[in-house]
Amino acid sequence: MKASSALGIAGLTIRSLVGGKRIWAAAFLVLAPPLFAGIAAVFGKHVEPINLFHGFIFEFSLWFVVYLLALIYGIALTMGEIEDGTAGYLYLSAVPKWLIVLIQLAVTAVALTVSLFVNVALTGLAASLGKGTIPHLWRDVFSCTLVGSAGILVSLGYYVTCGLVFRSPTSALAGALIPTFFWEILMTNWPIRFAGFTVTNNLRGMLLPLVFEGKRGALYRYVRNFHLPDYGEAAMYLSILSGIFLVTAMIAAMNRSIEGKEAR
Amino acid sequence: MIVEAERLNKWYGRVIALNDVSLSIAPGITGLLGPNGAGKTSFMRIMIGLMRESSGTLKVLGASPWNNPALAVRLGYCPEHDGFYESMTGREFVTSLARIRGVKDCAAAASRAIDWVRMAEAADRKIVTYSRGMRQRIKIAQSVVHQPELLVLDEPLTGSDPLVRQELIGLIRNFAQEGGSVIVSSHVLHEIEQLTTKIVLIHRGRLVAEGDVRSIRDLIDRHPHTVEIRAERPRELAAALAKEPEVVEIRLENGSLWIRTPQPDAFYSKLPRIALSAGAEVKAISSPDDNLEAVFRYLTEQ
Repeated sequence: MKASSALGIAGLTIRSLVGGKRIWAAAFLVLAPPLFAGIAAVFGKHVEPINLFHGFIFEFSLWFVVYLLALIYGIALTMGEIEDGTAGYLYLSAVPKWLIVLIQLAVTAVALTVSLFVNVALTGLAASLGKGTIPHLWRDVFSCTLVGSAGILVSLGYYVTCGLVFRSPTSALAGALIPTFFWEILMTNWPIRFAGFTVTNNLRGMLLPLVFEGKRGALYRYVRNFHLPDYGEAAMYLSILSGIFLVTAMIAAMNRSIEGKEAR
Repeated sequence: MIVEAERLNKWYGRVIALNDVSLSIAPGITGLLGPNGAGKTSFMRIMIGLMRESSGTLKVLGASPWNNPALAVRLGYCPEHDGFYESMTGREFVTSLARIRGVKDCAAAASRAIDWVRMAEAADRKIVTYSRGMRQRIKIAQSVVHQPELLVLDEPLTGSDPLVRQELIGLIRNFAQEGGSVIVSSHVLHEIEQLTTKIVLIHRGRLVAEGDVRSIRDLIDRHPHTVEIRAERPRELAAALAKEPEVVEIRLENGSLWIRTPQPDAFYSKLPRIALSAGAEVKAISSPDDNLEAVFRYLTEQ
């Protein structure tokens, strides 16, 4: 296997990321929160810029934006290629299947992290439009992007695995959505011990000490339970989870038959 | 042998796509024939390593194709369905696929392949603007860009107009003349007839017959032939023919008699005498069995 073949896979992944209708959904996800934050900053009467900014990244960027970006691209990364027939070309290459998936995951994770950075930075700038600047804005932007990238890696790994394990797009989507919108929402908002096992609360656990300098400030009200992991626990949990999903995705790729529509 | 299958099976859940297929394919052009849903595409996808067999073994160029990138780059594949990176131009598409297959100078290789399929003028247009024939040709260009030893073409002529079809047939022949091997599938026999005399017939996942067209033709003799007779007084002729042991079925349609006989030679030798005794002047005799389509129909009906 040559490095140029691997670069070729990366190039094709970038082409498929920016092509198609998915880019419009991604653009909406990235740009809508800054738009709403800007409106709130300009027209809100008792809005503190820093609270507005932190509220948005806590409630939107590290939650909807991370998961939905990963969902849009994670399922399509493998299932889309199988459905539109391009997987046949991709897997007939000098690169082993597990490495193809790994390259696709890495390229997509970087692209989504950049998108998240744009989202968070624009949200911060939009929140500053009304009543003054936000102290440590860029520190918070980079911290949020760093933490968000861990969330992207975990959720992307899970969604790509779903796209490889399930045979139809519908079942893959169901497999992806059920944990995200039942386990995550239910456990994150329910003050019981399992809350420590949600990706959302681990991302928040990582973010709090970075953004609030270890102090549970005003934004602690957004955490609706009291089992928020600390930074170390959260980093460990998310690392293990992303590792499990990456390895599972690679194994699934090695065992995935690229069946045509005649198989259904 | 370039392909050797031994008791190959493929199931999709409870549906059998390939059922105990054992065959060997020699270098050159080989036609893989069968109606839609026969299992041709499943066989081809297993052959190029996109799908895994449920049981049995398959060797292509002496190696198992499943999870074998070293073998994958020795194969070229042209799928039946159009699957493209639509936002790319034809040249970008072929160049990208050359790159992932480890071709050294992929731009030059892509240009050669594009010239070979006579797509140079349209190569810098986006694929989304291509006609059906152009799409077929650019698919063939990507399949040969890395100079594979074996080219696997899944229904490459389907949906093409006669002019494009002749061009594609010429390209496939050229590839074989330059030393490559080709396995081409179709459900239309006269398409394959123009390419090769070596055929493999698959029906409902089973291997029905394989070999040279002549050996396939020998199999016809085991099954009834259909003969169309145009004659005056066809009803009288039908009554006379019905008494003959060689005739197993008679049908009168649009003034023609359609006869089915398992012994065509004996039938043809007796026909003049029977027609004379019935007072029916025979105007024309023809047999739709004289083409490969009938061979295919006979064998797959079993």
